[in-house]
Amino acid sequence: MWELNYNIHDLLTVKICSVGKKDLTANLRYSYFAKSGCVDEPDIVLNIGPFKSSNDGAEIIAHRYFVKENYFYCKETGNGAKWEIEIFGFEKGNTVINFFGRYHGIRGILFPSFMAQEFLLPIIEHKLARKNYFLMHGGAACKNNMGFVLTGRPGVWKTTLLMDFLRTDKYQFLGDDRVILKEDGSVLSFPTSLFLFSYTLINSRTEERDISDNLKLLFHVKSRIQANFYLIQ
Amino acid sequence: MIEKCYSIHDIVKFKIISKNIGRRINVEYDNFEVEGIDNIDFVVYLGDFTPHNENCHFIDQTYYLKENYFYCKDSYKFGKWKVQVSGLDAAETRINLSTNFIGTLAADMFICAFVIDFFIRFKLERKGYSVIHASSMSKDNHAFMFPSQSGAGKTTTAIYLADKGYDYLGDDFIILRKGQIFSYPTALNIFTYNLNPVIKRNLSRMERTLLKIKNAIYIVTAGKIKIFTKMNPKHIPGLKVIDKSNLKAVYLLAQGDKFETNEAKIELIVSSILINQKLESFPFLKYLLEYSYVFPNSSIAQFWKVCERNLKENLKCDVKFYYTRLPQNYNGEVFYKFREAMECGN
Repeated sequence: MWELNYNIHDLLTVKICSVGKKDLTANLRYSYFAKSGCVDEPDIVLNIGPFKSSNDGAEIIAHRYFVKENYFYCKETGNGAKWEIEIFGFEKGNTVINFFGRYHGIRGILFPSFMAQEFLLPIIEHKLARKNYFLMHGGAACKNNMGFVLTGRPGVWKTTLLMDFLRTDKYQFLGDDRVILKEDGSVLSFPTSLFLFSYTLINSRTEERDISDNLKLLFHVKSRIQANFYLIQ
Repeated sequence: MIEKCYSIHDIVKFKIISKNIGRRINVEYDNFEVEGIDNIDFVVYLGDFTPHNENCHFIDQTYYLKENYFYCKDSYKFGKWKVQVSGLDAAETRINLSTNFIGTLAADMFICAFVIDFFIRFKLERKGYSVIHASSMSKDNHAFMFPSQSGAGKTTTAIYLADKGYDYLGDDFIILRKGQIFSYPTALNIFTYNLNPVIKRNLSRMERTLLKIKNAIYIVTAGKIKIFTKMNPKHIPGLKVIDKSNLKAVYLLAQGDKFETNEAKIELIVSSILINQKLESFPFLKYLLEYSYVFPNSSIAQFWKVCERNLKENLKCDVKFYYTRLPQNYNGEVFYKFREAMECGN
């Protein structure tokens, strides 16, 4: 039984509860936003573990999706995983997500809570959108209060370029996968754990690392974040 | 090489060229087969091929794109395929498709539903016709249309109505143009849950046993393998397939606790049909998005807008719209109430 609290730039509060054992990756994904102590009335609560669904009276679509007003439930398999998810407050109000599922094989045993957090991102995106913030897919870095956002489809060297910025020009890191855009044109950081694939490393021979190096890099990057509010140019 | 020609109401014409066109493809498009055609809209080559990926945009480590050209390797469940489309925007589109063994075995899904059906819809929409995921039955040139998600009762409603003397237009997709419905008689997908007494009567003992085995496979594999029994509607006694009819009323079907039917606004019907159409366009929904990402000003990027415009245009006539909820145990009693409501609506 464990619990984690996150506060995203005072815009959103998230709480993750699990009945299982805490694993290595539990706090990895959004650790930058971690807050000690309890959050009152979090915007999003994610419960990880077996649950009993309350999908009575829901409309069943394609024999699989259970939809009611402000409610969604489904049980699915695919991409080497199996899961069951229930969302209260799907459209409005505070959101409660019940999640039970895991990857097949070794990944599922080592990192049982990692997959659940993948489902948080679209909910965070939706909640931010309703507050007029846009969670953008892209990496960003900044220098002298000027932010640069690199956007594009996966695999177009976003991370690689960003790492070059950080390493060579003393830029500060805002986010690798997502950043938050505000109406007034400023960008807020959203530093999540990095995704490094072999193709990311093709152009950066000097950065051949193993998992422990990746973790070190992550903490290194984390320590370089000083402020989190910069203007985009 | 075997070459087969198909024509859908002389609006869309296509060819399938392959070493071996399997039974599951034949039964699907049997009713469209013609001797020879000209002005072909698209050609499908089945079998291994070498892609022409020179000078391509390479997106997401998966998709090869250049103007009017698309290539990728993809998979779903146990099926794997590689598909190349050239002349995407041209009058004659050329599709190369190669699947693994599972893909060939379940050709009705990996070849027909995923690729050929999509291109039939794609070409029809670009000629101003709407293709709707719905069943439709007609009596005295008055047609009822039942759009819904899969599994909400399209086929069941159609079969029940056939028993009451209604003529058949389509049970999975239908074509709509300016208030007129054109038939789309592809094979019926029969599974245990939509096996109603009318169909059961027409099944041989062998076929009934096979259905039970298929259902057992479905349960044992936890829904991973679902084999439909395919039936050509023209081969079902008592089912009369007609060419076209005038649309009278639209009943959007959904699942609920009990039977209930209410008038609905056209906006609701239009948005439901369009969302459904996108969901039914797997995997090409994604492929078109990838193409639109690289070529945002191409006509492909406008495709879904064209569909919306077509639908609004083609529904614009003296048609009534209803939203109908059907319980999960959709039996004769429920149908009796539904039919009463339908005929009162007249």
